[in-house]
Parts: sequence; C-alpha cells; structure tokens
Amino acid sequence: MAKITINGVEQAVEDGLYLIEAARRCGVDIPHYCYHPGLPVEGNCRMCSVEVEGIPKLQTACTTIVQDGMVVITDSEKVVGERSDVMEFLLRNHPIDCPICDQAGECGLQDYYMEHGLHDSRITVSEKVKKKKRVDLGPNVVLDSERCILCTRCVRFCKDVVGTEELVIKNRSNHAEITTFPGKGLVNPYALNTVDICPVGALTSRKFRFQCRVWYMKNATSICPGCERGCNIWIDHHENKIQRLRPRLNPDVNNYWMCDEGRLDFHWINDDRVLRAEGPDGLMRPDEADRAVLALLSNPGDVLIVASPRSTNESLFALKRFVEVALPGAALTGGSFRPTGDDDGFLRLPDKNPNSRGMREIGIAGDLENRLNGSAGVVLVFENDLLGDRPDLESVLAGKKVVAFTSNRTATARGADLVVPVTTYAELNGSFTNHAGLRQEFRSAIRPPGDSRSVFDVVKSLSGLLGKELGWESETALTKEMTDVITGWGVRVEEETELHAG
Amino acid sequence: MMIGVKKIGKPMDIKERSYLFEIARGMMTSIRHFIRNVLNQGAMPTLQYPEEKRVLPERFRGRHRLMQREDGTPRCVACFCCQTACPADCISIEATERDDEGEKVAARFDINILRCVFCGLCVEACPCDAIRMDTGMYELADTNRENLIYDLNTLLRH
Amino acid sequence: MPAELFMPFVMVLVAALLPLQLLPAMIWAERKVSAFIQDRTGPNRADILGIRLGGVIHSIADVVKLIAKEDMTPSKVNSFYYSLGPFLALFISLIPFSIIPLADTLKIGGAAIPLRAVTLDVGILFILAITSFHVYAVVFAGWASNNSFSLLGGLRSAAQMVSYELGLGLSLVGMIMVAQTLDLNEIVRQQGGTIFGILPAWNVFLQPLGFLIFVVSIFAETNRNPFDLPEGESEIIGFHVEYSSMRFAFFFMGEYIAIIGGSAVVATLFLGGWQVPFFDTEMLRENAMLAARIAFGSTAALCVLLSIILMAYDKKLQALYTDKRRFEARVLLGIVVTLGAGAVGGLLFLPTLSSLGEQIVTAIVQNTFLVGKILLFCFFFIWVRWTLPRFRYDQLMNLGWKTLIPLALLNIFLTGVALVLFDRGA
Repeated sequence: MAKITINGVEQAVEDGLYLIEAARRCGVDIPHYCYHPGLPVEGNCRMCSVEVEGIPKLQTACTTIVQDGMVVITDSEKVVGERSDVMEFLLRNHPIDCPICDQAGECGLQDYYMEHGLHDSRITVSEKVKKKKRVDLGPNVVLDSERCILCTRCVRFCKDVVGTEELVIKNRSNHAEITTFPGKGLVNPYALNTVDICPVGALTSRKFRFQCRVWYMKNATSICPGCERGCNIWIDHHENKIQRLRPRLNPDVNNYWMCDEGRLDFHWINDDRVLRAEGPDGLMRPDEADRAVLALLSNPGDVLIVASPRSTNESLFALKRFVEVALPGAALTGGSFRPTGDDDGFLRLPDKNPNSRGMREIGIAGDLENRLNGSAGVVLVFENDLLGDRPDLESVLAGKKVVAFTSNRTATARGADLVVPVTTYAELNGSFTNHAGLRQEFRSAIRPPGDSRSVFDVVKSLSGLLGKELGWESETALTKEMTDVITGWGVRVEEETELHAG
Repeated sequence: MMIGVKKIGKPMDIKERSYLFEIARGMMTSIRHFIRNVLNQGAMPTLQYPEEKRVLPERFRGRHRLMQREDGTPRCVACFCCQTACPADCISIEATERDDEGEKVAARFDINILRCVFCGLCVEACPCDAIRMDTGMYELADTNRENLIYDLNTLLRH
Repeated sequence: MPAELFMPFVMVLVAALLPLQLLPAMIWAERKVSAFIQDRTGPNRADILGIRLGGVIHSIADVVKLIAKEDMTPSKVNSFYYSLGPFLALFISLIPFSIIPLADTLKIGGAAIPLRAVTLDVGILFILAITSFHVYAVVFAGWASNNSFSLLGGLRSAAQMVSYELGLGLSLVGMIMVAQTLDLNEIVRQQGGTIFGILPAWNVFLQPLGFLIFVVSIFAETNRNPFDLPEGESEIIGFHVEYSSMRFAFFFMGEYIAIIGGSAVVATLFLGGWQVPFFDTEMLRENAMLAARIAFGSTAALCVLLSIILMAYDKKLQALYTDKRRFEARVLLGIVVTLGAGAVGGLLFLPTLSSLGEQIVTAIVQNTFLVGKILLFCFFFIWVRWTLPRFRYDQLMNLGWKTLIPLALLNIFLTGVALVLFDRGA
C-alpha cells in the first residue's frame, strides 16, 4: 500500500496504480479524454494534468504511477488554468455542430467545457480546419473527422484489445485524422466498441446514427441474450422502443466490451411482435387462449412441453414446477437447434443461447430431438423457434397439435395451431446463467406490448385453471426458492458502474 | 399569542349605512356608461371580429413555419431542440441523413397545432433559425383533427 | 252589438297580449342595456335576410332554440308538480294585468265601459293575493325536481317571498289611507291634478317612503337582482336547475312578465297610471284634435330623426360588410320613411273628431303614457340589475324583517299623523 496525499487528504492506495485511477478510488475525479481503464495508457490529451509536489512541471495523472508519500494537488489555480487551456486547444478546430451530433448530451467536450472551459473562442468558425464530415470506416462505424480530438482510444482498442490494428492516425498537426489502411475497413466484430469509447462525436454507429437524441432515453440493466457469455449490457429505450444496447462493466464477464452481433440484435424486440393470442378461429383474449390451451391438456401423457435455453431461469423453473404439479405425466424437454458459432477467444462463444447452463442446472433434460420424434400428440413450445432453426422438422410436427408461446412471428408460430404471446427478456425481471455458471440478474426495460405475458404468468394461469397451485405468490418468491434450491445461485448483488467515465 | 380580529377602515356612518346614497352613486356610474355608449357606439372597444381585425403586434406569435435555405431545402437539421423545449409535446421529428454531405435532416416534421400553446420556446431553442412563428396566422380552426397536424411541406410553404 | 258586451273580451285579449308583446323587447333590452353599461356592443349577429335590428332577432333565435331543445325530465320526479311549477310561474305573472286600468273609463251613450279586463273593487288586495301564489311555482319546482340543490333553492325563495310580502303589503297601507279606496282606477284618477301647482299629484310624491319600500319589495318578489337568490345560477343554484327547453323558458318568461307586471303595478299605484301629467281626462277630451296633431307631428319628427341616424348607420354598414347585412339600414330606412309619410298624411288629413273619437284619442294617449311609464320602470329594473351585486341571504333577511317592515309601520304612523293634521281623514 502506498500513502498519497490528494488535495490535502492523506489516503492509502494500492501500489502500482496510475494516479488517475488512485484518485478516482479516493473520490477525486480527474478529467481525461485519452485515458480509458480498459486500454493501455498514452497520455496525449493532457487533460489530466495535475500538480505533484517536487516536480516543477504538471504531470499527466494517467501516466504517473503512485509512489509512497506522493503529494498531489488537482484543484490549484495552475491545474485549473491548464485544463481550460487544454480545452481551448481541443476545441480549436471543433465544428461545434452539436445540433446534428449524436454525441450531444453525453459528450466529453460538452461536459468538460461547461466544467473546466467556459472560455470565449478566439477564432471564427470559418478559420477552422475543414475535414471530412462523413467517412465510412466499416460496415457499422461512421467517422466525422472534424469532431475528432485524436485521443487514439479507438486506435488502441483495435490494436491492444482486439488485435486487428485497423485504425491509424495519418498526417500531422492540424491535418491529422483517424483512418484505415487503404482498401481495408474497420471490420472486426467488436468495432462498435470504438463508438462507445470515443469521448466525442467522431465515431458514430451507422445503425443508431440520428435515430434518437440521447437525453430522451432511459436505461435499464440487462444481460445480452446473444450467446452463453452473458455480457452485461445497458438497454437504452425511448417511448417503449429499444434504441440501442451498450456494454456494462463487469470485469468477471465482459469487462467494458461486447460484440457487434449482440449489440445490434434487438430489433426483434421492437418489431414483428405477436400482440394477441391467435387460434384457428382468429384472435383471442388471454383468458380464452388459456382455456384453448387447457382443452389440449386433457391427456397429460400425450403432451410434450419444449422449454428453451433462451428462457430465463425463472421461466424454466416455473415451467418445471408446472409439469410436476399441474400436469404429471407430461414430458418436459429442452434444447435448441440454433446454429452454433465459433469461439473467437475473446467474448463470443459457440452456443448462441444465453441460458443453456441454467436449463441444465434446473434439471430440464436436453433430449429434444428424441422427444419430438416420440409419440406425443400435443407439443407446447415455449420461446423456441424449432422450425426457424430446423425447417426439416416440419414433417415431424405435421401430425401434432402445436402451441407456440412466443414473442415474435417466428416460423414455429406460423406453423402452430395456437399462438400465445409472451414477453422477451427486455420486458421481464429475471436471470440467465452463463457458461461459467454465473447467474446474472436483469431488470425489465420496457412494457410488454399487447397481451404479452411472462411464462410465469402463463403457467400460473394454466395451473390455476387446472386447480393446482404452483406455490408462489409472486416471482420474488419463485426466485427465492430457486436460488435456495440450486447450489451456487445465491443472489448476485449488482454494482451499477458508469461506463462512460471509464 | 391570541388570534384577534383586526378591523380595517373606519366604521360606516349613518349615510353609508342607509345604502341609498351609495346605491344612487353606483346607479349614476352605470347610467353614465350607458348614455355614453348609446350616443357614441363607435367609441366602444369592441371589434366586429370577422369583419374587423386587430392589427397584430410585430412580435405576435402565430402559426409556425419552417425556413428554407437559398437552395430551397429546409434549414432544419433535425436537432430535436424544439421538440425537447416544447412544453406541450406538440412537435414530433424523425431524422435522417442527407444524401450529399452526410448531414442530418428532418425526414418528418409534424406540429400538432391542437396541442401547441404558442409559447415560442421552439423558436428560441432553434440553433438554425429554422422555425419561426411570424406568419401572423391565428385563424387555424378546422373541422378535421388530421388537418391540424401540420407536416414538413405545409410548414415549409407557409 | 252593444260595446259593453264585447269590450271585456277585447280587454282580456289586450291584457294578455300586452305583457307577451313586451316580453321579447324586455329580453332584448336586458341584453343591450347590460352591454352598454359594461362597454360592450351586445347581441348583433343573428339576422333574417340581413336584418338584425340591433340584436332583436336574437330573441327570435332564442325562441327557436328553446323550443327545439331536448326537454329533459329527470327520473324519479313528481311529474305533476314538476310540470305545474313552470306553468304557475308564467300564469300567475300574467294575472295582475287583468285589473290594471289601461285608460280612463269610456262613456258611450250613458254606459260606462272600463278599459280593463276585470273590474274589481278589491284591486290592490287581488294583486297582493295573486302575487303570493308565485311562491307555489317556485316551491313546486324546487321540490318536484328531486334534487337537493333545487329543493334548497325553492325553500330559500319561499322564505324570501313570504318575508317581503309583508313589506309589500304594509307599504301600501299608507297609500290606501290617503286614497280611501282599493279600486285601481279610482286610485289613478285621484292622482290627476297637481301638488302646489308644479308636481303631478302622484302617490310617489305623497308617499315617498311607501314607494321606496314597495319598490324594494317588488324587486324581491320578482326574484330580481339584487335579490335573485332563488336562482343564484352561478353560485348557490336555484330551484330550476333541473329544467330545460320550454319548461325552463316558462320560468324565464314568467320572471320577465313578473317584472313587466310589477312595473305596471308601480306605475298604476305610484306613478299616476294612465294619467298624463298636468292634463286630466276632461282637458284631454276637449283638446283631442290638438293631442292627435301633436301625436302625428311627434311621430313624423321621430321618423326624421331615425332617418338621419339610419343614414349614418348605412355608411358604417357599407364600410364594414360585403354580404347582405349591408342593406339593412336601407330596408329600415324605407320602413321609417313610409311610417313618417303616414304620420304626415295623418297630420294633414285629420278629420274632425266625434265625441267617441275624442274619447278614443284620449284613451290612446293615456295608454301610451301608461306603457311609457311601464317601460321606464322596466328599464329601472334592468339598470339596477347591472349595477348592484347580489345580497347575501342573511343580509336579505335582515333588510326585509329589520328594516323594511319597521319602516313600513313608521310610514303608516306618519301618514296617519299627516291625515289628522291636514284634516283629510275620515
């Protein structure tokens, strides 16, 4: 441990920390642009300059490693003046096009100008150096060179985190700008993280560009359902529509990052949802739908219930209890025919279902294919797009009564005799258990559209109609029992970490 | 501390208490107005509205319009400042990219004039002087609600 | 056919139609006077073929509206009394006109023909008795509506009307002591001549205190501002809250006819009735030719004045309007000019009058003065309404019981003393 004095307060910090990180842990925020805790340091923006006793010149806090007995001042006149001067340099060629800039509202330049700048510009807009306003770096990322302050966070991300090294700075001085090598693009599968870490509006996401002003959006903590990694994410939503997904810091799982595939995979939550239950005779109210389902359950031995590794632990647990209590004799199976991917050694994993391990630990057998080929005449498919993933199953399902509990108009839903709308993970409090056995909770972000209900509500209603009790008053009681029963699933306490400041 | 009643003003004397003289004074006031208005109806402040109209002050806030650039394209860059500033939530914008320069432009710009409270905050919020309320149009009634949601083209035509 | 046989029928007709004819004019005047008092222009939009008559057409529009409106009857009302209320309100208001003498008695061939519908010796008492019935209309309406607000309104107004009836009756005692009769025509006839040669011998000058109390009480009796608590539409909700359409209109009309009737009673008892100031009946009959000439002449002069006003009005219309409304002044001008020409013709070709003709001319002149007095007093009603605020209920009761009744008693005492002193008593 090293003892340092920051602004007159002596505190003990770990050895080997950079000063900026040590100060943050002591509750002193030092402004910075180029420093990012997930990236190697570079010290080019000079925003984090502080006074260190014994050194005549100001030192950049992001490159200085703490030493025992260090005395640091971050709020002296000298430091404050330095920050103001740095801001003026950074804004020398900034186009000030905040009205059309997507970063406005979460922009480092805006925030620090209000906090540390507030100077009057000495040059006119026409004197500023003009650069390209729109450069397509890759399929997902657009660059506005004028806004760039050359902090090189994106360059370092590609070099040191992903290792693909697509981005470089070309030219010198006022004409320096970020670019890719000729004929190459920013094509790595994690490219959109550069948009997150860009402290200004230089890098923008092509998909999110101009879609929604950031000050309109509300956030909810969630878990990416894209693969069994279970990256921690923020769901940013506005007017009950998901606008974008952002990675949320979790050093144990995804650190500061997430893949583009998972990040862009949310449009199915906004669009093409099943809003009303649908049977052969047209649309139905939820209670009518439940009775229609019930009519098919008269012979439990003929019923096959298909769970999905895309469902939450809570849904699966409720489903299992439903079969045990209300429908003894019915077969419960789980699994997915979703095409697998590759393990790229960073974040993406082959199994594209978020809760395969959760399903196994809850005790739902994975003998899906055998069971489907069995004799069951009624198949209840929960949140599982069997036909979409395996079109050849159509012949297998042809003679059976299929009830699809689904959020979207999937191929399974189109082929089903009865479709009942259920919620997606974004409309639900729940948890996924990732490949490493870590159970991660998430909160609902938006309201369920139409008549969508959670699987828990559906099975509770069905068991009620069957005259059986699942034994839980609420989902909270369910979660408590589940975490008590299954070892290692003790409730994880969420620590909400602000990503942007990182 | 006790709460007391404080009497304000002097008590009424017998003349005031009889009310008759005060009533007579009031009656004289009203008949004075009556006679004056009968003799000189033109001096009354009332305007015969649909035929006569008030001269609008220079800064009167009427219906909105959207300004155009010299090349005829809208000045609006879809920054959402007016939508954010609007206390009545009557502006609704959808942004898109301009084909040429990668600049932002409004794909849809609707003002629901039924909701508008004519406060002018949108005009103040606009960084491009793209929205103004200087048309002097205030007779906006219609028989159909849909007609009172003005779209981009209507607002550009002003 | 002897005149004394058919004249009563004519007079009943006149007595019924006179207030009904004055009613729309009264409603129009209420709106226009209130507007002018408040510096507004008042109604001026409704028109028939561009003719607006300064808002008179609105009264017609009102009638159409009130007839065409849905007649809502709340459930669980006592439908008999619910319907009886408005009927009584209008009916009772109309009755006092039946005994108001419209002019001095005609004498045809030795037979006396009174110019009123009903000749009653107990005239004043009849009026007091009939107006007391008005409280039934209000109480029936308030109670039968099955609404606690209207019930309270009805009770409130019952208390008010009963209280003020005392002042109303007592204030007349002094006048009756002077007149020594209850017959209205006799009372009017006694008001001919002058006091000290300068004032008409009207009861208002002989009984100023009685007049004041009577006027205040008649305001309260007719539920008129500043005593219109029975209605109190905006704040305390009155007895007719559950009425709509023509049933409501009956209350509305009843109120205005009560005002006209009250004005007629005041004019008859205190303002000399049909008496023309300084000219009694005999004088008028002797100078009937002159009176007729003056009547025609003043009509012609009035037409000239109206023409000048209309021409100025036409200029304004031409500047303001482009539709058919711009021709209004010209149409009216045509009518006025025709009327004026008729008056001039009458002036030029007036035949020598017979004895009967002289009596008829006298009756017309006297009746004109009576109607004029009624209209002036109606204006006073309106004028008071748009000047004074409404009384609070306790103030209303204090005024009635603690001020008006003692004053009325004082008036009786003073009148008695005066009669003894000046030896005019029995």
